[in-house]
Amino acid sequence: MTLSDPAYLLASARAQGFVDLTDVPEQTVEAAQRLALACGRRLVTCEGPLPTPTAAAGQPGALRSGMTLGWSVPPVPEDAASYPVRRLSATQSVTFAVCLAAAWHDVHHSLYPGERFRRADVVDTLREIGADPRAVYAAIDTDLHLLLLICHDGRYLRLGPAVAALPDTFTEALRRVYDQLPRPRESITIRPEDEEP
Amino acid sequence: MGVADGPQHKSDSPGDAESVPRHLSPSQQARNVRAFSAVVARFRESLLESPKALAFARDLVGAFADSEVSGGPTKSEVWALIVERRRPQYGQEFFDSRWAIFEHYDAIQPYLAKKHQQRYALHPAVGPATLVHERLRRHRGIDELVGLLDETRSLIGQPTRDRASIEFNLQYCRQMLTVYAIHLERLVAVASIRDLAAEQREHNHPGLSTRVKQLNEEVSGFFPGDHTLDHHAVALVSAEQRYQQALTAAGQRVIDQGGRSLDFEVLSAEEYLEAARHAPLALLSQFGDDLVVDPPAAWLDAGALMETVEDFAPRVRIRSRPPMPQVPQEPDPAQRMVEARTRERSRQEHLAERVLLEGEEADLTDELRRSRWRTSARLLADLMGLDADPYAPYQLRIAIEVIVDRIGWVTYLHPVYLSRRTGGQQVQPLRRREHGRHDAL
Repeated sequence: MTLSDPAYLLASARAQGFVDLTDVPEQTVEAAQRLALACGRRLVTCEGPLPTPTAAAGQPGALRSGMTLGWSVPPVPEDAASYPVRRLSATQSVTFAVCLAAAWHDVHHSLYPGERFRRADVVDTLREIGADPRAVYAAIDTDLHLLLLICHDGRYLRLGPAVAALPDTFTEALRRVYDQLPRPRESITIRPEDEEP
Repeated sequence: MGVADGPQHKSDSPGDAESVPRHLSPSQQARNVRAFSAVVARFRESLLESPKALAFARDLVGAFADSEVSGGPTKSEVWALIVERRRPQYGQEFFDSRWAIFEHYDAIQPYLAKKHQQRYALHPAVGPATLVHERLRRHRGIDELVGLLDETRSLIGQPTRDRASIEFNLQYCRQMLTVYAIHLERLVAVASIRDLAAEQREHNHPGLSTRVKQLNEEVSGFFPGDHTLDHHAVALVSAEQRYQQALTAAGQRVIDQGGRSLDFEVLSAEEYLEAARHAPLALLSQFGDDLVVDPPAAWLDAGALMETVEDFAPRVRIRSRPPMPQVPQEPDPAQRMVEARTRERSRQEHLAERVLLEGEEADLTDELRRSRWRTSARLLADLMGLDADPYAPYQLRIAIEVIVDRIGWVTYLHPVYLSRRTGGQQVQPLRRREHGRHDAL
């Protein structure tokens, strides 16, 4: 089992959630992509922290480009109910929804990679909604990072590789209800990106 | 203890149908029998330690008992019986050699004391010897000790108590237990785990402590005041405790060392648990080297996400009012005063009305003179109170004259007149009162 084996590539992408492509030859990636598409999955290019938060015990590395294993065509887990997935709790879902709203500025673009956003904006919005602050801190500091839904980008936060792994149906459905996502204040989002926080 | 004049044969596993459950390993049994027979062995290597010897002895006892030939069976008849009924695991050569030794030791004797006698009889002591050797295969001899304790207890219970033999038994039991304890302590210090584990099985007699305790109580009960016997009994109890301690230490050492070296052949299920709890982490982590992990990925459903967002409501803790405390209704002191005042006032008015029954004005001087001092003072005070009350329609007039009475109770007083006040005389009570103060008693 070496890096040139597409099966190994797929297995490590599934086990870790995000795999680094630095030493992997092109044919392996293509072969792995073909195999994945045959099973209803696909490899998506994205940026993610290496080593991943789970592997690094809380100290993830800088962002680098790699691949993650996503879903391509139905049946997706919600239809088949055969693949065990992890679902988020209520507070985690709302936290992630606020992060989505903060990162997805233009509904016509795709969801991933989105813009950078600040942790403080998300936490303020959630406090106004009335979420339990301890659960919010746990979600935004630990849980969502472990699930690779968001990741650190310097002092900001970004959407993580797991968001790239979500199928297109998710993006389509969210486009319809884009206005209902709880978003941080308008004054914050129109601030230019290179301003120091 | 034991049968001393039976032939020396050792035994391990029986070969016949009524096999006793084997708990000791063959080497253990061999050691037991060697130590056991050292009591009467003459030569160094005169003992037979093979398993077939005991089987032979038992078969012999059975065959001699079953043969109904009058005059005793011959050797070939015995062999035929054994082969037919007992399924022996040894051959005829073994049978012949053992027969010769039994004959030499007079365990098998000729039926008639004649030469060239072909018929034989078996000495009955072979049977008990076989029993004793079989017991050696179960426990080392803890059964013998227990048997001695029981025998001592029954001796005590009999009316004809032989004090000397009881004393001897007590001492001997104590010495045996001490020897057991010393043996165990030696093993705990030097033996390997397997030997210790095997040793533990030899000492498995649950009733030992109970018997020793009961024996102690019976000795004190039946021989009151006999200090020597008491001393022996107490020494027996302490020897038994030392033995139990050594047994526990042996067991503990098996668990400790077995757990430390993770020697799983030695451990029982309970000790696995102990090893799981107390073994070092590095050792236990070796089990995880080959495990495969497949963590589940997060799945987000857009519909579920929006539903959660819409239904999300902050959890507000509603503070409910604490329940009203149940205060018992105590009498209100202010209320009490008001009620007392009202009662007093009504009593005074009743008094005044009683006095003013006949007309508008009443002369109370005589009444005052006739009463005792306390009563008249009370009456006067009531009338004055009525007069002072602006809402009560009574009026008191005290004249200036002084009546001095040397004989009566009330020695001096003024004439007192009570009248009903009408509406027009509102102003006067004030003046009257001032005036009355100058003239009052």
